[in-house]
Amino acid sequence: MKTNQIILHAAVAAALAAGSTAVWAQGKKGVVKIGINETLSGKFVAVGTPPSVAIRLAIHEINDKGGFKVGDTTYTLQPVEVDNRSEGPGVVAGMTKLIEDEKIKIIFGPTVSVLANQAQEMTVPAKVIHLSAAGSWQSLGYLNDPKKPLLFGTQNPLNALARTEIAAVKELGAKKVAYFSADDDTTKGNMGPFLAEAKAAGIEVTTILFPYATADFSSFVSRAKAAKVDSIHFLHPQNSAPNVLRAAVELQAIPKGFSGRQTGAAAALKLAMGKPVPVPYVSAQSTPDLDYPSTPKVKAYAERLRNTGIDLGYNVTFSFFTYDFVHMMAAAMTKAGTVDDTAKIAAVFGSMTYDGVAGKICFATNPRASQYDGTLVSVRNGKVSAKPVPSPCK
Amino acid sequence: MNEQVTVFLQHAFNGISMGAVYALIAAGITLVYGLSRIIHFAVGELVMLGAFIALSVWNWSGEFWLGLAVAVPALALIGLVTERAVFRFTLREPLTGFIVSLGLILILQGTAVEIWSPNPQYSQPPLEGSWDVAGVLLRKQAVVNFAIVVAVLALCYLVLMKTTFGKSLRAVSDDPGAAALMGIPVRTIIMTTFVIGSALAGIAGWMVLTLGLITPFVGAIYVLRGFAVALIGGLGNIQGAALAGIGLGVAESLAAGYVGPGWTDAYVFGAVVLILLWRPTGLAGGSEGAKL
Repeated sequence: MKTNQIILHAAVAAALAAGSTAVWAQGKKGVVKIGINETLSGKFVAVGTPPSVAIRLAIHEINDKGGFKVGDTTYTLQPVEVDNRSEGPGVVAGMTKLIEDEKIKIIFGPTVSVLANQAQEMTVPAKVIHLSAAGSWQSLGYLNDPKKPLLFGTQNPLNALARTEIAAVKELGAKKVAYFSADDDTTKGNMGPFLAEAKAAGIEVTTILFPYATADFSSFVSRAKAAKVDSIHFLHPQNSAPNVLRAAVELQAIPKGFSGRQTGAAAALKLAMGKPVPVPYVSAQSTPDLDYPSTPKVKAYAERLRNTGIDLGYNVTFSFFTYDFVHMMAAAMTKAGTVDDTAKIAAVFGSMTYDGVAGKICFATNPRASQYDGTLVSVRNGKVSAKPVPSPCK
Repeated sequence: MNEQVTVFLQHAFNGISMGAVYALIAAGITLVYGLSRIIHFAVGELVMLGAFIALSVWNWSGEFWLGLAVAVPALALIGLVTERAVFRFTLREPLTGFIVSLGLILILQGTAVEIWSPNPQYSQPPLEGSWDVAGVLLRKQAVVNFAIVVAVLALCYLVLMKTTFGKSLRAVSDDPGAAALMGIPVRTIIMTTFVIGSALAGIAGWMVLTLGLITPFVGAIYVLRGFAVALIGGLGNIQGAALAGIGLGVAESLAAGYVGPGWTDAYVFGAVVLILLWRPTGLAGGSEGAKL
């Protein structure tokens, strides 16, 4: 991790040095600090790394272009990153540093629900604009709470995600599905909308929750088989999906196939069995897909992300939970005419539509969750097809 | 066969195959404890290193089985180095050895992150599919893993019970002072158990790799179970570790299959606590009178 951070620091520094020849406007200059409180080590490191790298990439790009204007001042962004080590005390210590020591007014993360819940307890009283993809912010009502107007969800609304997931289940033709996920806050936040959408679609659901640190899924898959399900739908942790898929194939538990949230095509093409799995597979994504890009913008973004030289692993699409929102925040500050008045910036940020890499991005009002392009990625007989799920923003 | 019976047997087999891995790890723990009285908590990280070394060999050579052949001696070497460089200085104070092993966890995890990155890594073991035995599907890799564990533990048992080395080892376990007076090289015997215990962790690491997903943090899953099994079987009791490992695996699997699966760990470790309250030295006896 440290090596990765050093590489990224070096890349950003080199880029900034190169950018010193870029067009720097005459007049005043300023710096806006962007806080990042993420799981950069510990058990959730694979979740926190992609959003963190994407923030740094976006900041690098904004600065490389000379920054952004607010009034007659040109601002650049400065990332201040803390590693919460995937632990609650680390989140609190990190937020203390960002809010009290660094006086930062815009903070991203953590992405993991249980940690994000703790984090917002510190950012709300400090009147900090706080962004996270945590599903629990929606399910616990934080994003509907008028007392928390500066919290923004950077994932699609849970009911919209559930609709995409049910579309994946329908694509398999399954009528009875086992819902697989870790027994934690993230699942508690996402399961309700899924069950509601499934009921509306006439799909019967058997819920199978497992301990987060499960290595062998045979028993859980056998339980699903005993319940005579047509398919398995997998929520999280996404990097366990290939293991569950392999177990399900070998135990002949999924006659109609396998679907998952944000599980990607690679699980079915290679990771589960080293070759394409012999069952239909659909990944319901709340973001565009980087391997099967839907637009030239996504394709170019995937290239830029790869050029950072950092292996973002299985959860690379989690980078969409932050990347566009850094650009959007800079645009909001320009439009609001301030970098200090968080209420004013949040009002503009929450009501604007931004044309980003992930399509047209805007915030729903209740909950205050962002909306952008999703994708249904299907794998059948080793052939991949991707179907965009367009953003509703105009 | 009755469908309910088939389902029960399926869960039981799933548990036996996983429990065999726990037994292997516990055997290493119990060997080291039996002779040195050191609670070697970094054994989970040794399992993790075994998995990553096997993964690297597989990626480099394309031969999955070669990973096992390399991981075992590599871990044995790591066991030798850690004993010579660290643990031998703590033999008079086993508690210090325990604290040192906690430090080793962080060092080994950090090393793995630097070498292999913190991201999850995947393997696809060559044995795929399952055998259908009267409706019970036995995953081929799990069957092979179980057979390997049975062979390895049987070999350990034979060495312990039927060889001069085994007798020496048991003598050191019973009374190191008396063993030394009889001319048994106590320090060398203890060093050898660290080597054997680490080699067993290497085999377990390869088996963990066959499950498909590893990360530098995977050791935490196994260390708790390894110690639970060693405690239930009786610290210092290798036969008890084997039986308790299978028992824990089956209990986990049945909990996952029949009760609220998300609370599997709570049910299983709740049972461990109750067993230890009932029989503090484990079901098969141990710790005070080592049964090596």
